[in-house]
Amino acid sequence: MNITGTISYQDFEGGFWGIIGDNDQKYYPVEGIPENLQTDGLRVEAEIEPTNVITFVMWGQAVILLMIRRI
Amino acid sequence: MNLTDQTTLLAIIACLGIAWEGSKATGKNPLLILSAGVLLIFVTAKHLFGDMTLILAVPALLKDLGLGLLAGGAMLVWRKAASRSFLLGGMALLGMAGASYGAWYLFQNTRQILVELGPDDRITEVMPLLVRYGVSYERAFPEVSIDEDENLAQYYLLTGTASVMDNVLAGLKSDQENVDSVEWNNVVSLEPEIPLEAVPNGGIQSNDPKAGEQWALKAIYANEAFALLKSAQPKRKAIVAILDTGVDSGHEDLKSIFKKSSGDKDLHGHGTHCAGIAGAATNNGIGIASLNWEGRFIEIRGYHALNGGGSGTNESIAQAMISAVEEGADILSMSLGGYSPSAPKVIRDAVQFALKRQIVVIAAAGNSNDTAKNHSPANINGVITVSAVDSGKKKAGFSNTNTGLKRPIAAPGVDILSTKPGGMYMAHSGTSMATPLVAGLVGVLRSFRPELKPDELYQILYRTGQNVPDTGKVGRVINAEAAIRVVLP
Repeated sequence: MNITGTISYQDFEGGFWGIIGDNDQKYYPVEGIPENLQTDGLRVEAEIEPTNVITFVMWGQAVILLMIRRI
Repeated sequence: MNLTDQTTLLAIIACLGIAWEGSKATGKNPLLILSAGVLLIFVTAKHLFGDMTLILAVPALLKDLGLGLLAGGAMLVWRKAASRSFLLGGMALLGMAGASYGAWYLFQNTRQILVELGPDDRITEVMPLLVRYGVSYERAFPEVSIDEDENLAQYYLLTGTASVMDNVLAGLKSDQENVDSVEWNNVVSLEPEIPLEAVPNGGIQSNDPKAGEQWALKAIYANEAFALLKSAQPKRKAIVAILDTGVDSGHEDLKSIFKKSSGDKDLHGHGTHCAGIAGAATNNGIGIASLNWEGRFIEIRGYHALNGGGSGTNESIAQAMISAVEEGADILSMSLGGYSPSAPKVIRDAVQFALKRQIVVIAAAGNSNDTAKNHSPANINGVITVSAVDSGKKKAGFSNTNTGLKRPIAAPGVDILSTKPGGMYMAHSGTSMATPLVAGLVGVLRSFRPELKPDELYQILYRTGQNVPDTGKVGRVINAEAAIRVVLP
């Protein structure tokens, strides 16, 4: 599934990077976001695969990031 | 006898036949040699065109032929005939089979599936599917007998290459005759935490030097509770099991209250933080305070539901729950969870396993600023679901709401000071921090009244809880003094 959204840093429960989609959905890439894209507010498009993985972060939908790039 | 056993036997018989005839100086029987050849062709076809995937079929065929040649070579040795070509060929084929298997395992990612068979079903009934895809299996919870729990005893953990496991999952889902439930053995992961400033607060009655930095104690009327606990005698200590990354059992503020258990080392730091909130030794002149006055009310046990990277699987979480229950826990404190409107069945079964034994299960509501109805294990019936409030007793911005669930409660979860491995102390935020605060209070209640059932204990929390402006979102905020008064002799 393809999405567009914004990179967002969350400072609770450990601090982590996620993507807030243009549809207001929260996506938590379980394997992280590449360091060069870890910029709060950065616009990105991504190909993601939702996964049933449970995360300690407990924020949004856990996803596997298949592709991500800035737009 | 499964497929590979059968073909191995046939290959050995065929090679023995060829070796027998080959060792004769005269009078060879061409029909026997032909039959053996047909048998070998049958074995080859059975592997290459059978149910097994090709990448597994080739090494299996090499293994069968290698064993056959070795058997034939042994016969030739016994018959004092030339055996070298059989023995060398057999060893070469076995070596190639081993190398093929090794390469396959090295270069394939594996995935795991948890399958629950029906009460009367056996793993042999799904064996053809497992053999076809080269999937290994083991009982997920071998310590649980069928008499003890007919659901958990029937769980198997299946491991196979990632490329075939989708097919295995689909095959098991379609097998409604033998399979009750099937799901991925999901990974549960833990994120590192960011230290936050503790909010100073005065008036703590204990002599713990850092107690003045624990605003949460004042918010739940812990000072007043200490006045009650100072002279009170519990019937017994309650055991709070921290299902997390383990607990640093040697921490100066935990070692006197830690009870021997498998998770006595913290692989990350998160579990130690939760343990301190639940039951750090209090009024001992060291570190922080909890509701565990002089360590007389609660013992802490640690279980590795999560690994050092902060991740675990449905199986590892269920396993930690089962171990804690079987080792006598009174309360399971679970600062973990994730998005799952329909909770994994194995976790639901493990919760029921605990509740049937009157063990209290407490779980974090989650941090999505969403409803905890979408988060597991918080959304499982019978679980006390803990949301977080800030120092103003307002819903923490990140906290999920919990009032759509049956047992909602709230506790402080922002800037919570607690223990960290290596004798350290730090403040963190999250519903992870609110959860063990509730677990600690329930532990104190049960230490006075061990006979109280999970729902009765929740009712005490609810009836004595503080109504705050956000109670409609996160439930009532716990009041330690009022709750403890209910159970005092």
